[in-house]
Amino acid sequence: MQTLRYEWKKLCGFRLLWVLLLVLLCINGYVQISAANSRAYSPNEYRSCVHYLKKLKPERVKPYIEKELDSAFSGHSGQLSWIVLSEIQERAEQIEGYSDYLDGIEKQAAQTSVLSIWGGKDTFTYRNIQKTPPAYRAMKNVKLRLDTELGIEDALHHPVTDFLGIFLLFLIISTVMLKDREQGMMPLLYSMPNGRGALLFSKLLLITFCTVGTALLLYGENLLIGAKMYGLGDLSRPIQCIGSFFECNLSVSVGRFLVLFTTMKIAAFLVFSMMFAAVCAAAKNNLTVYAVSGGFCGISFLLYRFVSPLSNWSLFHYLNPVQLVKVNEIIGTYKNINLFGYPFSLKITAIIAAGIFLTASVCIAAGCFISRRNQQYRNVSLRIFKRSKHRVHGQMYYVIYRSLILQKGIVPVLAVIFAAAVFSSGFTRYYTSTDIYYRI
Amino acid sequence: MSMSTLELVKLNKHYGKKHALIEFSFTFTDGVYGLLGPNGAGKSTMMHLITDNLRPDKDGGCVRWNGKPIAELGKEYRCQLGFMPQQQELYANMTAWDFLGYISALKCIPKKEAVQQIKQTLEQVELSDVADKQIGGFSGGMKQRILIAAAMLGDPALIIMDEPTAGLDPKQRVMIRRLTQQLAQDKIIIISTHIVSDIESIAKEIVLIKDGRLLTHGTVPELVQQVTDGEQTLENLYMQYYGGDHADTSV
Repeated sequence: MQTLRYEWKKLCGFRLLWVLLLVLLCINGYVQISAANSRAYSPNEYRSCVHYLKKLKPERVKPYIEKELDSAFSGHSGQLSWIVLSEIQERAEQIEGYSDYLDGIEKQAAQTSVLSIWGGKDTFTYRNIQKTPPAYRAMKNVKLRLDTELGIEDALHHPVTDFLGIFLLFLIISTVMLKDREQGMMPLLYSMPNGRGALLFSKLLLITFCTVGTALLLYGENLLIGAKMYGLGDLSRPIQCIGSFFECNLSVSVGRFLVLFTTMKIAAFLVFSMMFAAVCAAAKNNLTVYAVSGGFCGISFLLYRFVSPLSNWSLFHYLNPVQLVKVNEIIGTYKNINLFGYPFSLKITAIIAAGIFLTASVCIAAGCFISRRNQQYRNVSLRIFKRSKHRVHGQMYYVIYRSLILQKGIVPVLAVIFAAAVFSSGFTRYYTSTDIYYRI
Repeated sequence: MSMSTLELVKLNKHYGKKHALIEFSFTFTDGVYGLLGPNGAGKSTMMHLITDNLRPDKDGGCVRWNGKPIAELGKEYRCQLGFMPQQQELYANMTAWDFLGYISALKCIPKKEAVQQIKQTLEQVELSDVADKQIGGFSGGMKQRILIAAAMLGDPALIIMDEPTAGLDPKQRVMIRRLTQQLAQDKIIIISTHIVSDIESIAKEIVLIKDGRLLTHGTVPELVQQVTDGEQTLENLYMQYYGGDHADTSV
């Protein structure tokens, strides 16, 4: 694997990438820490509460919380934060009622076989409800218990991390796949025995390692911050003990779930990586690479966001690379997708979809790379517009063209705009006293 | 030692409407061949066809190595090929040693052999002193020499050189000429150049190409006989055939 070693050296020579990696890790960490600190209670208050309650016997937790809350509402401040206690009370009730929840699933299935409001037995809804109880039978003997959960929840529920990961991967892949062509080295490399299939294999292998590394770095950072701020708790407890994964039908511990989550996240990132690699191999110039990659991500996001999971077009919502990245939805709940009126497990279809995307992308990349296409850069020319052949532009034009297109500056600019659009949609500002100021 | 042959059999290559090579046929055997022609004559296209970077048009002829089409030989052919393209940007952050190590990995040269060969080629192109320096700091001439070293790795039987002496000072050009002559004893070396003096003294045969067609070929004494006006030199022959042309360089 000598070629792989040299490809890695070539990538390491792109110093801006390492600076960007550092910046993105800082942004990721900052966003997670600010999100944690924006809660109505501090991480220390939460940890103190959970730590104290864990020492109590399980049957004494609920009465203790009720007593503390009564005391807080009547104006007496206790030793623990009442806001945290009220949240934990909800969780405690949920955990206590887990067997009722499972029984409820069975009862609902039994009722639907009697009631006709579902429009008959030949519908997806009916079939889906009937399919649900067997999926939860393995959970009958699962015993849930209270423990710290915000560390895990915060670590695994961050769209920022996914966005940063995909952005970083795009930069890495465009460097690995395009640098040789940008520097006019392709004819030389291509003329060598290992300059085609073997070279592409090395590049794709490097891309795979970088994808794994990116996912581990970003989510590892999330877990470290979560562990530091809230703690991860007992990793051997069932995953259903974590509020967001209460509806999960996998009989696994928190630790195993983290491993499964990381594996599926790596697979989802790998889908994006290979698709970017295919675009880079097929495209004739930088503009096309940015346009197609950006268009692909944008369309996937829009389809995921605006196509209802209950509509007839739900396949575009579910069989979508953006859905693959939402690993929480895939393995953290029990969901079936509607395929011609029949329910199919989202877990299995997601794995199959990922496999299809990966295979197709690798084949496209291989086909374009090995078939001696695109060895040279070709300009984009929109012949629909008539323009004079020889024009001289101002200095600003050349500066912008060079920095945005040739040196890929457009990538961070678009990414910042995209991030600002995404985050501003969820932006809230706390109500302050100045908001009620009236001029008389 | 058996002689290698490279045959170009009725090669045709189109780029859209432009016909870059038209029914080009020639056979190369061991020795140095010079390829002369103005910009846009079809020299680069021919080089890319020989290095299997391009395929001829459908029913547009073929390139044969020792009697077998290179399309069928594939990797086996490329193992015997050394290509020196016109100066490229190279990998600025790689050292000369690392770059040649990369090339040797792509040429399937085993590690132990590669170390020996890299040392030897660096000595031959006089870059041993800067083996650990980054290529980004090299002059144009040094980059040219590193590309020559890369082409020589693996002791290929066929070496294609595109403007090998561009950017070199006279002393270095003489060095390259001497090196090429030494290599040519049991190899086919094809040099595409505009500098007539570089091939005049070392080429076994010179091929003149114009508008994608083979114009004429022969040894230097044979070719200079064709000069009708002025002193019988290769330069005057070049001017005689190409002097009034404004070749279309866009391909």
